[in-house]
Amino acid sequence: MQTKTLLSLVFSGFAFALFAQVPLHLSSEEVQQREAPQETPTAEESATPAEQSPDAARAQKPAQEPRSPILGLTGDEIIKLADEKMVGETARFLNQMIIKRPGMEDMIAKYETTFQGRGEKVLLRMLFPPEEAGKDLLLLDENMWQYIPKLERSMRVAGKQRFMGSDFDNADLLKVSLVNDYSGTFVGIEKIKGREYFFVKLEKKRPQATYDRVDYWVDREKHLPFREVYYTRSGKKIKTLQYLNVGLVGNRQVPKTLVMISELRPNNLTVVQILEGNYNLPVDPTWFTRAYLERKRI
Amino acid sequence: MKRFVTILVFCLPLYGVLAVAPPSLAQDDATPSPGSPPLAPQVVPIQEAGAQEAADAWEPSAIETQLDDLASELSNMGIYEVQPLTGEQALAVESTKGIGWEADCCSLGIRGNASYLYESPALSPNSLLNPNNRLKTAERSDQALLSLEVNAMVAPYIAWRAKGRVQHRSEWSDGQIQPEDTRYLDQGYFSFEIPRSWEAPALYFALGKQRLKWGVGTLWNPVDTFNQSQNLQANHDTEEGKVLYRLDSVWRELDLTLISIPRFDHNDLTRVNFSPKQGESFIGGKVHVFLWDADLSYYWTKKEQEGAKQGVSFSLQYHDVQYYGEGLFWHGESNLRYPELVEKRTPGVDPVSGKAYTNPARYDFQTRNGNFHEQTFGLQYTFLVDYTLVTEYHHNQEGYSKKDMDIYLQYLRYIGGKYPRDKRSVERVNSEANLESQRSLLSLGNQVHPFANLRQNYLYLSFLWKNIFNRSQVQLEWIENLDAQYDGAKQSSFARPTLTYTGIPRYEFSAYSQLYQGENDSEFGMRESDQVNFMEIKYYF
Repeated sequence: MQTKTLLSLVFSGFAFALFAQVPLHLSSEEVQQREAPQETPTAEESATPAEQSPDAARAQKPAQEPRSPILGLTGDEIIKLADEKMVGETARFLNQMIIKRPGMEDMIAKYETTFQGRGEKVLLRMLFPPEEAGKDLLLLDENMWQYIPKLERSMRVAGKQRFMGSDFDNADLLKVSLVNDYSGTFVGIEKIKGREYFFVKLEKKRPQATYDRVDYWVDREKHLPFREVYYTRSGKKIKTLQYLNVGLVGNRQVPKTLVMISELRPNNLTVVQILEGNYNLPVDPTWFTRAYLERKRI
Repeated sequence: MKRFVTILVFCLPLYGVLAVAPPSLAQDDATPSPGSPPLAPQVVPIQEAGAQEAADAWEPSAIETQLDDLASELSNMGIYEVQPLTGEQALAVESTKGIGWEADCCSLGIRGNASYLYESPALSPNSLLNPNNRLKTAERSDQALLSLEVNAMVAPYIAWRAKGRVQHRSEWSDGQIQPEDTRYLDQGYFSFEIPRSWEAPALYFALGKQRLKWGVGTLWNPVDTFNQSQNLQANHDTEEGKVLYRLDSVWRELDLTLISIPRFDHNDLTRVNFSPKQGESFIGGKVHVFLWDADLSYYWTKKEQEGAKQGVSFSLQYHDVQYYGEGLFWHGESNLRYPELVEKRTPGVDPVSGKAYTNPARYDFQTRNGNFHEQTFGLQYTFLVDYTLVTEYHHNQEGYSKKDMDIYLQYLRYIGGKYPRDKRSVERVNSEANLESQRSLLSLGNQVHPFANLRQNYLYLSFLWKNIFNRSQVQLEWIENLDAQYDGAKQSSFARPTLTYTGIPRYEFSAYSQLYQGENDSEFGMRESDQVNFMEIKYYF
């Protein structure tokens, strides 16, 4: 009887998981379309502005769409500008992560990330600590795999899984480009400690996006991201990502320190620092394949 | 109908648990909580001319003060401003790649771990697989293991990789210690990369002893025809490879693997034996393509003097659920051997003495020929708050039917009866020499196929809770023999709870138990132990 009970529990759990999530995601899009039709640009609109002249891009936008003063940028254009500043056609970084927990010794990790196609393909190689070394991650658009050294094969992992128990999810580290997943609405300009920042509200436009809503601040002058605050659909704040310490990485000025503060786990924070890096390096396309993840272990 | 009602009844409370308990699931809550912002973005209308006024009217974020404090704290800790990577710091970063040395032409890296494992079984006094504890299962055992992994780039485009271990194991049985020291070279192979332009397909060739793992399943991998130890008791740290040739080609989202295992004796425990012996040759291939966000693979393998085996697998992620499956199909000989009662016990009379006696029964184990298939389907659900739930169904068409199982149990009872508890038994005198052969017969299922697959239908469940108190994780795994639910066989299951602590850098502490549940004549309950407890400490370097 106990076994049957457990079986029933498990089957019903998955039945719930399957049936519950799909309608909710669908209804989200319906709600989005119903309640804010004018503020949600189409995918075509969000993809075009950077390649076109500002006037042409502006002409495609609905007349009532909010724009930044002076440059007249829409929310989507601001996201794209910041994305382009942060992610080149290819890029490679050596990073250090410091996981801080109250009353515990800091945990330090080091890893190398290689990006291709403006962040659509990412390979993360774990270097330190030794017990995590080799647990490399691969992102192909929306799909993630992790190599498990013990099993000597790679397995799919979810983007929302925490990276090494830090406050960063796998998706936070790998999916650095926001423009494909979110549509932005320019809200206003916020002055923080004497500097001006574009404030943009992001709504997810693809079900695969990690968060439902994001508040996004971008430096008005340098067009670099300054802060991201993540929310659930119901408006509950989950995490805050703060960009700090703008400095030279390769030939670009970018924030070299990222701090993630979790609202779910008070007093926890994780710092990521870029130790080395460069942009637009030649990259072998086969690095971004599962075959490489499983084969290349040197 | 009753089962359906049971499922329905349990579905509702579980819905409540899943939907309400984890705070993360608020993400799926379509109804905004009181006081939270509405679903649509709040747009602050801004006129081009009055933009600055609107900006000034914008209230600073509540987290600003907190972040200011944080910036000061980080600055005080010396990690706010990143210094250029030079000198000792650069050395420290290099050292994270393991113990190593690097030059323009070549490189050498060594990684490894040292571990200690304590194993303590709770022995069954008289199980079907070990009647009256005659096989003298170890009462406890210790194992110290040093594992090393060497990666070397010996020249441009040529790499050498090796993985070996030194192992000391002591087993306590009847107050006596049986030590065993072994050295294994689990893997050792050269890998060559054909020079090419990056747009051309990549081509790699590897020769030597290598581990090959195929399949997408979490527990069962039918398509992994090279490794037959796919059960929860398998220790992946001590699995060794096979001597083989391997050719890999990668082009965009398509990759191809061809392998050939020549006639080497892979069962030779000296582990490095390149002399051709009576081992079977083996050829195979795999084509994998990443298409429409799904991993699709086709497998083909053929052993010498056996029919070809063909397999397929898929895996894809949709929202928070990962779906996967794999299947293997072949025509020919089964992997399992099936028990048959060849001759029943019959009474007889000695013609000389006139004394009555009993002719012993005779059992035989034979493979069968026919069409066989084996499949695994699974789901993995990931929650936002560090929970992962996996369920996997496995169907092994060649597994024992109810009738096969009954004969097998009958056989076990029969040979168990030949070794009574009474030590003065005449049969015991002659039995010692037969013990080893009996042991192999008793564990027949393990020899040709993992025990977890002895029958046809199984369910695997795993619940993983990571990052408990930031440094620990708990996992509960469970295998249920589904056949017993329906064919009247004795119900049995296997469970393994695991607790892991990683709070000290480079160390990993784990404690786990293997629990065999079921009556003495059920699949899992017939084991020598009802429970085996393990404790392990591992140090990585």
